[in-house]
Amino acid sequence: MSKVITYLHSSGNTAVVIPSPNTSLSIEEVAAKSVPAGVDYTIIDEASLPNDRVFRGAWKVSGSRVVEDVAKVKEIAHGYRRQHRSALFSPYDQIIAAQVPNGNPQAAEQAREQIRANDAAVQTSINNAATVAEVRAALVGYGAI
Amino acid sequence: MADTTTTNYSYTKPEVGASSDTWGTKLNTNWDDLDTDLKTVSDSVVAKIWATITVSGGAPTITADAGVVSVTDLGVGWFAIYYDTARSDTNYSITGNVNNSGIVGFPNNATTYSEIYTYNSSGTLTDPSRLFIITAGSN
Repeated sequence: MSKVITYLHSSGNTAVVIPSPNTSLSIEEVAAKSVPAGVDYTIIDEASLPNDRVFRGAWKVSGSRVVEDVAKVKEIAHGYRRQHRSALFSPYDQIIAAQVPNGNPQAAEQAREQIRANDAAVQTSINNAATVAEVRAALVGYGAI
Repeated sequence: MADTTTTNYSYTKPEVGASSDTWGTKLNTNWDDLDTDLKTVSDSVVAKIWATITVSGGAPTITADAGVVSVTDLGVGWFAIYYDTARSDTNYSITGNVNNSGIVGFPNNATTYSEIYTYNSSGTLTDPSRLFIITAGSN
């Protein structure tokens, strides 16, 4: 099983060091060359990393695994939510802002209201989620990821 | 016939049958000059190091030549390549190419590693599906 090295980077991110497949060095020797001096690190199985990078910024080391921190996951999720809301708003924003002839601004405003309501519901779901899986489900249901 | 010299580096070629008391000194001087010239040439050799980073799933997968000891995943669109042998200086060139229309930046180059950013067309740090990096410069 492949090993990787994790440590807390000065940026606050969890860094993951992947040894080159061609290196003849041991995992400890790779750590000596790749981890900043004086920084603690952990050697773990690569298989214990999360399966995707949707919440990469929320990774943290917990024992012999890298897990996703729920509080950070929620922050990232709200970013996805806002980005998706902007995309949904975009066509209606243009109708209203440009006063497009026959653009039916009343209908556009109604559509925007519905988007706001749906977004607020997703926002609540994310805030109330107890697990990363619940956050993910809320975003998937919204079409944001 | 007097002594002559070689075409490119002007090493002394003692006249055959002459230099009875000086040919040893002349040849030793040639060896010293050759030693110096070889060292100059070897120091200027361009050493290329390459790596490919593929992002799919959790941890990136890498392929690289023997000059790379590791790749560090520092976050979305942020990686570092660590070299097996420290370069003599930071005056090396580094280029990158991503296959999903991204933009590559190099925020920090050191003798032992190079950091790489990959952006989408909007300038947001974004993971590449595949990134190819090559560095070239003196060891």
